Amino acid sequence: MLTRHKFSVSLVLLTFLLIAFLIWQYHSGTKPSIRVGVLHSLSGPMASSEKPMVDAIQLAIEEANVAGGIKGQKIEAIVVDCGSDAAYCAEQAERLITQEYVHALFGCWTSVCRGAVRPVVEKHDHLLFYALRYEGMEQSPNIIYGGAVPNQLVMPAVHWALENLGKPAESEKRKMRVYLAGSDYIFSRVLNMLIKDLLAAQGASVAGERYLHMGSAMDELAADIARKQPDIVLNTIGGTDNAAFFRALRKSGIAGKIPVLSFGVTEVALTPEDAAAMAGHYAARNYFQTIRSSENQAFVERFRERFGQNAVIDSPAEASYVNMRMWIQAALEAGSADLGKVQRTILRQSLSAPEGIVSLDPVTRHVWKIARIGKAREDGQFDVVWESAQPLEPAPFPTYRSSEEWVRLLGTLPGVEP
Amino acid sequence: MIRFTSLTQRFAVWFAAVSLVPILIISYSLLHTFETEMEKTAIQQVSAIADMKAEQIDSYLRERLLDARVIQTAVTTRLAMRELARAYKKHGVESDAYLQADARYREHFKRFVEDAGYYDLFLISTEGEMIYSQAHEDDFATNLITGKYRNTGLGRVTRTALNTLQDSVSDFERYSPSRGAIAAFMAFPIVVRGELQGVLALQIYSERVFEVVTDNVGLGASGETVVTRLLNERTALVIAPLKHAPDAALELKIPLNNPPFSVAIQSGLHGERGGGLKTDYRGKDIVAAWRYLPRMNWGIEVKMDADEVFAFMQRVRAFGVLILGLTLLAAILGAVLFSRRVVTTLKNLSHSAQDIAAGNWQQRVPVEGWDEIGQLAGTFNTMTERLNASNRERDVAENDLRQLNQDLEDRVARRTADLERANAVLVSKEEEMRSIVEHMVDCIITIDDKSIIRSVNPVIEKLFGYTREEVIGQNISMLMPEPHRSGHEGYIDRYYRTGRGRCEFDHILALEVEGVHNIGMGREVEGRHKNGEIIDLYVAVSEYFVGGKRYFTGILRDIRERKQVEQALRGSEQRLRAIVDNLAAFVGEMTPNGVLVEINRTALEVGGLQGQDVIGRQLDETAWFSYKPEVQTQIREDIKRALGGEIVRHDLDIRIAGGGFMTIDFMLVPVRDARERIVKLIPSGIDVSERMRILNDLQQARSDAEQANQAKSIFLAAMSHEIRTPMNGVIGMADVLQQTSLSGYQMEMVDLIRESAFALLEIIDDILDFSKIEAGRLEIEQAPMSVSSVVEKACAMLESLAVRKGVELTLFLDPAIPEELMGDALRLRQVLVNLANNAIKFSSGRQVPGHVSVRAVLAEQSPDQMTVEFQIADNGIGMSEETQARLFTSFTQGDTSTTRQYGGTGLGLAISHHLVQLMGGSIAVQSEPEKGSVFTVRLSFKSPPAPPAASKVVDLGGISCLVVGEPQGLAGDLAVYLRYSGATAECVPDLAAARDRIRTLSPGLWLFIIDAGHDAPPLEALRAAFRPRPDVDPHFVVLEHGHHQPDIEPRFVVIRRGRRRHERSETVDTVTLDGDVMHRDAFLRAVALAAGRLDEVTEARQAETPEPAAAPSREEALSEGRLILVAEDNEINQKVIRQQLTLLGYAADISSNGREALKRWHSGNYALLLTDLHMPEMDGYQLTAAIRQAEQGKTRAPIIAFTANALKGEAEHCRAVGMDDYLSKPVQLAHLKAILQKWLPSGASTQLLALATPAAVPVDAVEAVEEKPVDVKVLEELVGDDPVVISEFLRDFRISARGIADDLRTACRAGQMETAAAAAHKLKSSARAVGALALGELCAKMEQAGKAGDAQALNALLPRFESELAAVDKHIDSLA
Repeated sequence: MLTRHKFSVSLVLLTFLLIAFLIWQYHSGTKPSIRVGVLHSLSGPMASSEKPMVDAIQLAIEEANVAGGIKGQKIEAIVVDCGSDAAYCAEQAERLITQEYVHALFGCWTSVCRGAVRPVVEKHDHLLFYALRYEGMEQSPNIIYGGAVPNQLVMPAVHWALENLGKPAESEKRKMRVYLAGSDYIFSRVLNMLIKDLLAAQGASVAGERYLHMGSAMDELAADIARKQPDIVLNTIGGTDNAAFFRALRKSGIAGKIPVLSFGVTEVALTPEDAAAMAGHYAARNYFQTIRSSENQAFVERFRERFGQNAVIDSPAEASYVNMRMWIQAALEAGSADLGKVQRTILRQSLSAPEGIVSLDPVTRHVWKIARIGKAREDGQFDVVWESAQPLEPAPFPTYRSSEEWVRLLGTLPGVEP
Repeated sequence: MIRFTSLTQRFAVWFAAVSLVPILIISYSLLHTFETEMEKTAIQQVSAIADMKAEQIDSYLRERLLDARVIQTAVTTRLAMRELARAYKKHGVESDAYLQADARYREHFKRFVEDAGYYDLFLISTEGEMIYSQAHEDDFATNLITGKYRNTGLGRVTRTALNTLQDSVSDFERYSPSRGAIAAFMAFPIVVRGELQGVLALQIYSERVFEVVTDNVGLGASGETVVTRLLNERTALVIAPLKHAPDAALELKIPLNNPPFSVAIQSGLHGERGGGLKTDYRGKDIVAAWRYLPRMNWGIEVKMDADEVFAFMQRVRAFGVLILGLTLLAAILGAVLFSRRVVTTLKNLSHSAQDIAAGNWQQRVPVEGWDEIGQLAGTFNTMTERLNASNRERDVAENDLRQLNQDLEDRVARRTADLERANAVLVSKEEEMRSIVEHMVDCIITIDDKSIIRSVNPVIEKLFGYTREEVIGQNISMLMPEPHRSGHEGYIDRYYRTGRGRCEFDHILALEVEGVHNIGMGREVEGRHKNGEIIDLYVAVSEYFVGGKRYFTGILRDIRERKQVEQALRGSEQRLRAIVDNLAAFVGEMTPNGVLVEINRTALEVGGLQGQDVIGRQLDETAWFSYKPEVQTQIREDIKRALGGEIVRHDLDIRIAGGGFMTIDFMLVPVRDARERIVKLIPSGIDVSERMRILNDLQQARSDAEQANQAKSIFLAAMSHEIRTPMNGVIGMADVLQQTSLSGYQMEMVDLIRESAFALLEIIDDILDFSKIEAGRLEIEQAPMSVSSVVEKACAMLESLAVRKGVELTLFLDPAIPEELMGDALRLRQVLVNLANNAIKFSSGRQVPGHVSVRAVLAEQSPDQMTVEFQIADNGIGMSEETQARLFTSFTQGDTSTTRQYGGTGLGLAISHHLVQLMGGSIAVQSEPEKGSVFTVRLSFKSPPAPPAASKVVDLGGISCLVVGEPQGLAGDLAVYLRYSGATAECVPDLAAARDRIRTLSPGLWLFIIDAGHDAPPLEALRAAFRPRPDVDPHFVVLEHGHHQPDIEPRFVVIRRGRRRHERSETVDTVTLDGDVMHRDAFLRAVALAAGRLDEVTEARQAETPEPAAAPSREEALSEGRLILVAEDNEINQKVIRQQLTLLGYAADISSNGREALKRWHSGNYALLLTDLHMPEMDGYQLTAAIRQAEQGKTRAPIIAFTANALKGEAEHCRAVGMDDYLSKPVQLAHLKAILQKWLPSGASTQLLALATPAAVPVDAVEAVEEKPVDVKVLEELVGDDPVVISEFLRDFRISARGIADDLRTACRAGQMETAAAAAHKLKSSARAVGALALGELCAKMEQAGKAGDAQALNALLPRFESELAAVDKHIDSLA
């Protein structure tokens, strides 16, 4: 009788424990992860530039997952190699949306790529985070533009250059002469259009203007610059061509005499030799790895810990990281990664990023950013020589002309579809 | 461990623990969750307000910017900028020029400033000079780059605009020119055509922003919004007034990096957004939300004091504790009450139990309540009661025992008395026994050892005739017959001596058996009656000893009757045996294990066996079956099945005497007993070898017959094919020949060839049809069809025959027959054509003009079924009764003599008969020799599922008609038509009656329908009759028929020539139409025309003007994509089809087999394939299949089959295999043309040349008079385009025309109207024939005039006639 009593008591106890365990199991069980799509080139000519962006995104996701994910759900990045092919990238975007059911897309480097993916995300009313500084003149309800537009970077930087670089002696009493060197693509064309507006307003003149095809020889350009003897060179040449440009400049012997302010150079794109060739010249960006803020120091530290001590962060990588942080923050605020809910919360986000305070402008869907100018060092890093006092408002269509006027002007540019 | 001394204590403690612990846990967790949720809600609330405020501030500023952009881009602003700048620079602000400009634009700016609520508006030149200010404060006319206000917000935004072309907003600051008011500025670059003109700046109030900040709605009493900006890394400056410090704006500085104070402010200023419980700058706990405002670089903190937010939490907690205390109290109280209730009762129970144990049996426990304790107490009481009760029962048992003892003694006494009584009963029983013996049915005799009868019962008298007294004391041998009687003594002695045959009765009474006869066994013996008769007896003897003496008792029974029955049985068995033995079948019997126990003689004899050979052996081992192991196995199997209860039966070969075999119908039947067990098997067999032989013969015969039938079918198909192939040559070539230029009699010969060929084809078709019917392969379709159109078509087919034979063919269709019925149109027409054809044949060539009428009358009508009666009546030769009887049998004509006279296969009627039967109808004939015959076909038709809409009968409603003619004949029919169309119709038999009726006619329009027959209609006479009735407006419809006798001149040439189906109004009030094969619609239209309801439709049926069909060359056709490929193996047919195609204007390549055709086809040159079906190498089906296979995905070229195989199913097969159409050989030119035009439609170059029959040249074509006096094409249509032939015709015409014209002239001059009309008529015909249409028309008019006797009109026409004739003459000359 007694043993039987004890037995039933322990049975009840066991049942109770079992139920408790099951409930705990149910609540702590692994929930399906939230998937986001990453569309970057891991092969082809863009691969070296875009790789750090993927790394930065992964870092942001890992940090978020360590902090508990979104309502207990882990975030998982589906990384797609776009192979430096815009059309393929668009196809993959379609696939990620319709087959992988990702909750957001992060990616693209070139405007061409973004242009290809844009109709896809608009068709599905999806969300693409773009991290590159670009020429502006665009606005889509389904893209968050995490990079700077010209009014946030180019305009103040040009003003700074005119004020601080290569001023003719007071005695000469002449206009500043500026040489515009660019690649034959829309970024250079649009930027130079704006720069020329500004030069006109500032009473400076254009000494020369050249657009080179990607990968063409730079010697002739350098020779032209040497011949024209401008006070400043504003360089909008894209990506890897900069190395050749600076080598040519050095070869022509004008490297040390005429300061060059570049808008297309990043830390990542420079090999050590190139870096040496560029040393002493200037670059305008929103982010440099050398920013002194504690946030940035910590960020660089984390990044290197994760991807090796030699890992280099450039501004697109940092913007990618910030983009992902923004999305996570929006999803946390919405309490879910659901696309519709995130769309509602994303536009109010602001955060203290490595580059400083960034916040989303709900009207233009671009980001308020601080502009900076760095002076290249021998080691490929930049010393920040100037930065805007506060984040600058993004104006994809600079307000001194109406957007209709901009569209019309764009139409006049060679190689640009209106 | 606490030791409880009482249950009450234990209860109280456990109860409290069990009830309170959960309450405590639940309360705590609820309270905790509640607090957390409240916290979250509060934070959310504050966050929402923070979001709202940030949004409000930002949108206020953005609206200002947008407003400003409007004025920035306004043309006036740009003009003002330029003008003011110029005036300012050149002349200064005091100058008139500046003031004028200022005055001009002030109003413009004022409106804007006031509308949008700005404080001030400035224009600043590119040099930084403030050249315009709306408010004209101190800052006016200072330089914002170099002047004293350069470090104000205005200065900064102005420089940004000038330097970077960006618009921006400055922070709120105290602005000294505006008397230290807090203000912010916005600046916008003015760029015109890419050139910077200056800056537009605006000063905005701080109040609106501050309003938003200080608005505390939703934030409670302690709510506050702290808007700050960074002064430096460690200090934040408050921008807007605070609730707790109204003067804090731009005054209060909050130290940062000083946790836990002001963490929220710091976070907001660093761009973060969030919410939580924090400590504010005053060190108070707050619920806060912080936001970052990028436009102003502000941090916004919205907060409420935690005390206020969570004030109610305190109340909730206090309330919770109160509830908890109360619950605790209630629980303890409950525990005490409960324990007392339970424990007290238990205590009472325990006391009572102790009492009872002490022996107090009357003690009872108080029972309280209905619960378990109450039940326990009740049970306790019941137990005590039971104890008491069992004590009482023991006392009662002792008393009972004593009583029982007494009872036993009494019973012994009673038994003794009983025994005495029993003895007395025994004595009486003995008496009873004796009486039984005395009265038994059987005779019982007792003898002693001396065989002396000691006793015998009275039955002896009945059995032996002796009385008891006679036999008792006598020797038993007296009852025995000799020799037993004398031998009896010896037997007895021997028995005693040997002890054998202990029953001496045995040898005494019956059998002299030497063996042992046991006593007690019954025997049948013979006895001797007193009268000496021998009687059959059944004897049972028993031996017994009384007092040492031996006695025997014998029971004897008369068994004479039984013996007789047995005798009868034996006889019947012998008979049966005889039957079985002499049966022709084999019969036997077997035990269930297969051992044969009986077999009849037949079986033994046939098998050449003796009984001992087989009886007792297994059946399968007997000689019949043992010749082959398979048979044995089969037999064993059969036995097994039979034992399973089955009756086994099959044919089997057995071995018979002499080593031969015999097939028997073997059968094994199980026999069951009453208990359904199988006790034996009856094997039997009948000799069926003869039957088998016959069966085999029959099978052979059947297969022979089938082969023969197959051969017949093949023969029929072959006949059809073989005859049709040469027929194709005959008819095809005749067709082609007809198109060449032939002289008149050649033409006739060709016609004859064609006709003969078609006649031959008909015969073949008849035979085929007939064989199909015989084979039961003819199927009747059920499809919607129109009875009237079938009848009309049938008549139309026969019309030309009727005309040739000079037989009048009339037609009547009951208007009541529905437009559509379900039936087989083709077969119905075949029947009607057969019958009508016969009727025409047999009523022609006699003295009486032949007349055949075809009538379709609705006989019966039900909702879904219509019975139509078709009557084909003639006035021909008729037939006798005898002939009628065998009329519908095959190959029979009415009289063999008629065959010679009229020709024909004699199959027509038989086929018709069969067809009618197949259609479910009946056919009957009524005939009398020399009077004609009436064939009546009755057929029932189902109505189609969806009856068509009401037929479009011409509506004659309200028209009054008078039909003149025999009411039994056509006139009656006409009246029916008229009435059906809504007209009122009366009939009068003749002119006289008509005259009578005219007198009494009601006034108004009357239509006279005159069945004129072949007489001239009595129009004049009727008109004359109308003269006294001017109130009646008569119109006439004249029906003429029977114009075919060559010697009767028809009155209306138009009708005769054209055989028009269409009515034509000849004069104003007369419409004439042909009564032969008159269609109902045509008649009704004519009536409507006469009544003025219908206009005479001008038939614009232009004569088709066929182009001369110059056959294109192969190259032309190829280039036009119209080349045809023909696959045909027969050489004659190749020629025929080539000729036919050439004639139709097609070019073709011809392949002589399918393989060659396929090769050619692959060249892709051909537009169409015509293929024979049966060819060597590759037949038409294979060819088609190969082409369709190759064609997949490409365009599908038409493929048309032509074959002589006229069997049913061929067409379906062709379509199934992928062909598009089907032509049956012989291919008629017209069919070929139609098919080719269908599948290869094209331009005019393929028009068929001269295919229209000459008779079909429409008279109406006259209306399309050509310019030329002679249209040669008309002649070409008739005779072909051979110019030689044509010129010959024209020459002939000219000669005859001259002659006739002479006659005409003469007649005109002489005033002989009749002659003139005749001449005009003659010339009219020939003129029209050669294409001199205008001349023909003139002749027609003259003819009319002549007939009407109108000399004046005739003479008036004559000059025109002369000139037209001359023109024709001249034209013919020019052609020649």
